[in-house]
Amino acid sequence: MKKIFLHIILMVITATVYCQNVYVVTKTTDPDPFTYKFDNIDSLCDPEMYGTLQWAINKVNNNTGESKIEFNIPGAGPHEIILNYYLPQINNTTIIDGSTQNGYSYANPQIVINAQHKHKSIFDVYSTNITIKGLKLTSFAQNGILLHECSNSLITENIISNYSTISSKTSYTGIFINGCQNVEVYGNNIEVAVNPLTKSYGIYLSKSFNCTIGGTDVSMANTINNCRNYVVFPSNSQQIKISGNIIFDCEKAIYLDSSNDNIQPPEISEYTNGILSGTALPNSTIEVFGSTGAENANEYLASVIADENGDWEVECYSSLGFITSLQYNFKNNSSELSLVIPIPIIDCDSINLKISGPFEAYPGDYLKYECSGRPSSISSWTTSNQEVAQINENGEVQCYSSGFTNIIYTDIHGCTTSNLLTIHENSDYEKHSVYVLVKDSTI
Amino acid sequence: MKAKLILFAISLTISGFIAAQSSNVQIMDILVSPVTVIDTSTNLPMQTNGENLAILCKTNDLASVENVTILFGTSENLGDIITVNAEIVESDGTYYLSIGNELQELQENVISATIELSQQQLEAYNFITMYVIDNAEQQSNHLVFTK
Repeated sequence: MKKIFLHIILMVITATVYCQNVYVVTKTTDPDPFTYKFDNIDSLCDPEMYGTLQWAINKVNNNTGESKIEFNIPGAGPHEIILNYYLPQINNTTIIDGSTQNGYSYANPQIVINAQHKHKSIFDVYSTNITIKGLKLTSFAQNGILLHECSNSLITENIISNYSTISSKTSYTGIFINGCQNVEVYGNNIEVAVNPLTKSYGIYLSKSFNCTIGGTDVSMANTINNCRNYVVFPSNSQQIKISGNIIFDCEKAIYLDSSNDNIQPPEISEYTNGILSGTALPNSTIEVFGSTGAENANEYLASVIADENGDWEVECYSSLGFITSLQYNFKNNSSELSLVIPIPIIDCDSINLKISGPFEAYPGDYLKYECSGRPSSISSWTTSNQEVAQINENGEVQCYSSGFTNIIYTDIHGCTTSNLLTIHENSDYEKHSVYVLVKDSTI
Repeated sequence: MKAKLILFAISLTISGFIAAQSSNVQIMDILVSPVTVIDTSTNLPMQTNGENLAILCKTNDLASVENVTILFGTSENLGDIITVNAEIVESDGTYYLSIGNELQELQENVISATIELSQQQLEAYNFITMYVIDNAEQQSNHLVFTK
């Protein structure tokens, strides 16, 4: 019986290990493929070629089944792979995962791939089910990533940056998505700065459908800036949901070129006492952003669904001076950004926020705080020392241990005030409990 | 025994003939990708009836390549949809691909051709076959891209 169990466990382990081919990049070099030849049989592959990124992509292309490219380059990062040749086109399903390199953290990739301004695309993909994650792609001559008929794919947590001073007839693009469906682009940082005579795009979608660019969760939003022309440019594409992205310093944030049914942006009617209101398509979702000016969406503020008449209002504030918005309908067709409207910048000193509530307590006590500021759904309570006490969104505090903590209130305008709460030693607790009981019985 | 010797001699001759026919120029890593051309007056992509495709490959010896042939076909090594012949020319140490009436600059042992296909041609081809002919009139290996 034991043997059967052991056999089953071994089978499960074997299946887990062998269900995916994993190719590990261990070198930053990019050898001449004519001199140092690739062979799919590793023992016959030239040692200079084995373990390179070029080798890993060739392995993906020459083998069937699920595969993954991981990185394990020795030494302290970041590690730069300087491409002497363009990488082979990827024509098989795979996951290229830069987050596997030691030292990786979100927004801090340890693998940098540099095309030396010579090679058109860093990754040129012609396959479905591709994931590219956790890499920094730089100095390309046309596209950071090109997905060609590459459905069901994910591009996430990459830094794609290009600074080119060379004038070019063709455009530069961070991510070029051509003829694809179900592509998700999350949490990337894209910057495509070029010569004034050259065009550049952050994300260009052509003849593509049902793709998602960003999300309102912080980890899903893409930050796209410093592109000469368009940040997100869907051309002859439909159901392109553009959501939550941080966009600035580009000529035009979103441009719908015969795409997304050319739906119009929501209209902002007014901003009064922290409430933004306007009209949109009935039942569409409106996203509101703080902005430094036209075509900038510098900070995501809030989302709201328009009613059946298309009316909407949402409480929000930005210290950036302007607000803009976009909408997407039930088909996930997103609009361009709306015109910006100015909002008053608040002088926090003139508001004079004051917290009321106890200043002393004991471990185990529950307290309630209020603030003189206008109550708001986006105001917040926090404590400076979570081990001593924690506070919820209603200003209710639970005291955990003796010590000091600041009770901090932030209002809708970002103005803050705080009070010091002292929580006494546990040894005084019994005396305190008696006091509370007596006090309660008196009441 | 005599027959075996004759067969051996014939096979040697054939191998020698094949070896003599093969080019020293090698090509690898065919890459096919769409190209966006921008209309500088509108800043928008140029509207075309089809698509511009960039066809690339690496070569070990660009200086020895004279001609490039690209076959768009319904099967491998067939150009029944469209056949493109281009010439490589050199000027002041820079190599260009002369295709139609246009010169496309080449960089560091990469042969690159941008070809405009109509929508009908785009839909019809299943394979792209690419090879080069060297300055000794010998044909290189063939690369095949499968749509």
